[in-house]
Amino acid sequence: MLKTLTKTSALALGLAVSAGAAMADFPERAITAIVPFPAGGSTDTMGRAAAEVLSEILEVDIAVTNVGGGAGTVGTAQIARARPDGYTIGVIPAAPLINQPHMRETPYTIEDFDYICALFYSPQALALAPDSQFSSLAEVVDYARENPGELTYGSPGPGSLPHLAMEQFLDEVDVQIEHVPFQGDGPGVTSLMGGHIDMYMAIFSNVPRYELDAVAIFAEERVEAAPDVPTAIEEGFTTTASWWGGLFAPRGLPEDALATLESACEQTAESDAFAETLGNLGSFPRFLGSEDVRTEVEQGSETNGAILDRVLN
Amino acid sequence: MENLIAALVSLADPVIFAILIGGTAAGILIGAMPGLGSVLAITLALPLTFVMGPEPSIALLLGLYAGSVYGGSLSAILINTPGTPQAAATVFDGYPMMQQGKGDLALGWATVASTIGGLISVVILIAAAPLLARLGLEFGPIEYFALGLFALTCVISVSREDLLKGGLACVLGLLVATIGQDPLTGDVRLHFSNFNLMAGIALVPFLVGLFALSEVFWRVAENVSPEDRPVANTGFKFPGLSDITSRWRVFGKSAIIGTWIGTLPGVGATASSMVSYAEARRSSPNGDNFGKGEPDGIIASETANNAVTGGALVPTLSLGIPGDPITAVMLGALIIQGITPGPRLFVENADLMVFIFVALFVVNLALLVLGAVMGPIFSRAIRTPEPVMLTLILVLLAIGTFSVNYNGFDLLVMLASGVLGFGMRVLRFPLAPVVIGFVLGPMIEQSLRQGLVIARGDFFYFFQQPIALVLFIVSALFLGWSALRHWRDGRKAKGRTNGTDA
Amino acid sequence: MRENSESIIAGGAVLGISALLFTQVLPGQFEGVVLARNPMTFPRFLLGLFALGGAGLLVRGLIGARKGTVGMPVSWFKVLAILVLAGIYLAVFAPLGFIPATLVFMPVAMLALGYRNPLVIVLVTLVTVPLLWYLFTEAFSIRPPGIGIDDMLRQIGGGA
Repeated sequence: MLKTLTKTSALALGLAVSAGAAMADFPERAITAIVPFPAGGSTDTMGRAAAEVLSEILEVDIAVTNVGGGAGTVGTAQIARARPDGYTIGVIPAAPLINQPHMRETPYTIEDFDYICALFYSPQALALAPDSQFSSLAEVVDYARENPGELTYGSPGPGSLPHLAMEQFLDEVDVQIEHVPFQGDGPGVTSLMGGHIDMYMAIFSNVPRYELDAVAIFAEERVEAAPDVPTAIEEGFTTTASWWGGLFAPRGLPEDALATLESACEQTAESDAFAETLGNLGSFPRFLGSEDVRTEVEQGSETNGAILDRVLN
Repeated sequence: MENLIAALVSLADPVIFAILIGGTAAGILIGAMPGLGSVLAITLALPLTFVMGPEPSIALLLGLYAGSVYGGSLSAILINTPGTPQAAATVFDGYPMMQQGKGDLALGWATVASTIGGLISVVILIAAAPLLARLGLEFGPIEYFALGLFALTCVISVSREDLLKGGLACVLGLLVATIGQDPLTGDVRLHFSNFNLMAGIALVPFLVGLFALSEVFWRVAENVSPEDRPVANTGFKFPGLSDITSRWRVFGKSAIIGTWIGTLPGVGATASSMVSYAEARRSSPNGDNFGKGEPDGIIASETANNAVTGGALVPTLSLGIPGDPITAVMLGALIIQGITPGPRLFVENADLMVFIFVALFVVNLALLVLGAVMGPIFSRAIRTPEPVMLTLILVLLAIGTFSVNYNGFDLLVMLASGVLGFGMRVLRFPLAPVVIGFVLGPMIEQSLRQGLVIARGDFFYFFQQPIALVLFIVSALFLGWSALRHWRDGRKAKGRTNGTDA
Repeated sequence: MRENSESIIAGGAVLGISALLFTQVLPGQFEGVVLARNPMTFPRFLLGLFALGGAGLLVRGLIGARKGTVGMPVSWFKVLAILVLAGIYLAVFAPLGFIPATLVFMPVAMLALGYRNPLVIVLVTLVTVPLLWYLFTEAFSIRPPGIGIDDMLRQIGGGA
C-alpha cells in the first residue's frame, strides 16, 4: 500500500507514514541530506538525484538542504557537528574534505566523519580554447616546457579538484602553466570559449555539455560519451584524476544505521534510474564501501595536501 | 510557423495556462518576501517538474523566475527592503516615491517597467540569441573589470547629498566583501580567526540586515505615530500612457543593457540593474532627480532586472552555460527532462524553444495584470499598526534569512548589518553605496587579478583591449563630469539641510 | 546635533573601523608573492582609502565648514529595547528553535513597541507562528530550526 503512494501524497500523509513505519528500526523518519554547495551546481544535482533514489529504497522522505559557502566548508562543518544518528547525512564531493583543510583552518578533519559510501564520479578532462594551436596533450606540454609561464589554464576555483588535478599533472611533467581560477564552470567555460585563457581543466561532464574541445581525459580508459578523446596515459603520462563524492555522516553512527545506509547506497549505485540521470549529466555511478572510501579519502588528503603546500607558497 | 501555432495551442491548454499564471503569482509572493528569492522559488518547483511534462515544467519555472524578479520590487518600494537582491537598485528611487505619497505610482512604474523589460528581452532572445551568445564570449576578465568599474560609478548618483560619505559607504561595502576566501588563491583573510567569517559574509543576510532590519530600528527610533505618516495613495496606479512613451529611451536602453548583461555568466541581475541605473542617471534628462524618487530610476532598475531573465536564457539555451545560479537550476531541470541545452537545441527541439519564447512572453504580460492585483494587497498589508507590523517583519526577516543557508551565523550577520545600517542612518550615510560596493567588489577584484595573471602583471595591457578601453574612458568621463557638477551644485546650495535619506 | 559634530563622530567611527580591520591586514604569510596572487593587496588598498576618507570627514567636522543642525531620532528607549530584543531573538533562533523563540519574542516585542491590545497581540502571535511553520515546512520544504508542530502532532499520533 505504502509503495503505491506517490512521493507527494506520502509527504502529505507524513503522519500516517511515520506511524506505520515500524518495518525497520532505521530509518523511521525523514532524513536530511546536506549538500554543502548552493542549489544548481554539480554536487546539488548529484545530491538530488541520489536523494530521489535513496528515498524510494529507504521508504522515507529525504530532504535535500543546501548549505553553501566557504567552498563547501560551511556545510561540511555542519555535517560534522550534526547528531550521529543517521538522520543527517551529507552528500559531499571530495574537495571540502581532502583539499580545504590544507588551505585554511576548518573546524573538522577527515577523522570527524563516518564514511557511508562513494557514489558518483566523473573523470577530469583538459579542454582547449576553440582556435587553439595545439591538437594533443603532448604538444601542450612541449610548448609549455619551451615557454614557461606563457600559457594559462582555468579552473572552477582555487582548491577545487580540477585545480589540484592540473597542478598534480604539471608537477608530474614539470612544466609551468599559469592558473586563472574562476567562480564555477559557467564563467570559466565562457572565458575559454572566448579565447581569454588557453585551456580549462574541467569535470568531464562539462565536455559533452558545452561541446568543449577536450584534448585528454585523465582516466584509466576512454569514456563512452567521447570515444575520440584519448586518455593522458595513452599520451604517455601517468596522471589520473577524477571528481568524486558520496554519502558521509558525522562520526559515531550506530552500526545498523550505517549498514542500512551503505546497502541502500549500493542499491542506488546499481539503479538504472540513477545511472541514467548521471549519464545525462556526464557522470557515472561508482560504489565504494565504507572502509574503502575512508582509505581513498586518507590517500587523497595526503596527496593533495602535498600539492597544496607547494602551490600556495 | 507551425511551431508557433503548436506553442500557442499548448499554452491554451487550461492546465498549462493555470500553471503558468499560478507560477507567476507564487513567484511574486516569494520574491516580495525579504530573504526568499528566485533561486529558492525555482528549487522549490524542481521536485514538481519531475512528475510533469516538459511544457508545464517550463511554464512553471519561467513563471516563477519572472514573477520572483518582479516581486522583489514590491517590498523595495513599500518597505524600503529589496525583496530580492535584484531589486536593490529599485529601492534608490522607489522608496523615496513612497515617502512622497506616490507609492501607488511607484508600483505602477515598477510593474510597467518589469513587463516592458521582460518583453523586449524576449524579442531580443528570439532575434539575436546566437549573436548575443557570441558577443558574450568577447568578455573576458579584463572586460569584466572595466564593466565593474563602470557600474561602480552609479554610487555617485545615489550619494548626491554627501559624496564623501557615499564614497566611504561604497568602500565599506567593498571591504566587507573581501572578508573570507580570496577568489584567486583561496586563502582566507580578514576573518578574525573565526571559522564562520572565513566563509565570508553572505549577500542575503547582509542586504536584509542593512536595509530591512535597520529600517525596523529606524522606524522605532523615529517614533512617528501612524497618523502623522504620509500613507496616502498606497494603492496601485498605472502611469499615464504618454508618460510611458515619453520615457521610451530609458526603457529601451535599460532593456538592452539588462538583456545583454544577462548573457554574461556570473554578472547577474543585481549588477545589471546597477549598470542600467548608472547609465540612466548619466543620460536621462531627469538625471538630477535620481535618488529622490525619480520614475526613471525605477524604470532603469526594474526594466533591466527583468530583461535579465531573457538575457540569461541566451547562453543557457544556446551554449548550455547558465548565466546565473537561477538559470543553473533551470538548466538542471531541463536536463532532467531529457532536454540538453546547447547549440543543437535550436535544431533538435525547435518546437520547445518556440514554446519557451511564447511562454516567457505571456508570463511578462501576466505580470502586468498580477502586479495590478497583488500590489494593492501588499500595500494595504503595510497599514497594519506599526508595532505589530514591525514585529511581523522582524520575524519574517529571521525565518527568511535563516532558510537561505540553514545557518544560525547568518542571523548574527543580519543583526550586525542591521546595527551598522542603523548607525549609518543616524550619521546620515547613504546605504545604497554599501550594497553597490558589496555586489560589485568580488567581480572587480577577481577580474582585475585574473586579468593581471593573463597580462603577466602588465597593467598597460588592460588599455590595449578595445572593449575595456571604451568602458574605462566612459567611466572616467562620467566621473569627471559628475565631480564637476557636484562641486558646482555644492557651491550653489551651500548650507542647506535635509532630512535623512533612506 | 550640529552638522559638524556629526561629521566628527562619523569620521571617528570610520577611523575606528579602519583600525579594527587594520589588525587583519598586517604583514604576514603572504609576503613575497606576485601582485595578482597576493590576497592582501586589494583589502589594503581599500582600507587605505577608507581611513583617508574617514580622516577627511573628521577634518571637515573640525574645520566646521558645515554648521547647520540636523534632526535626530527621539525615542531612544524604544530603540534600545528593540535592539536588545532583536539581538536575543536572532541569537537564540537557531539553537532554541523557531517556535519557542518566536512565541516569546512576538508578544514581548509588540509590548515593548507600545502596543497595548492584548487580544490582538495574542491572536497575531498564535496565528503567525503555525502559519509560518506550515508555509515553510510544507509549501517551501524548508524546515525552520527546532522541534516543530509536525513532530508534536506525530508524537500525539504515535502515542494514539
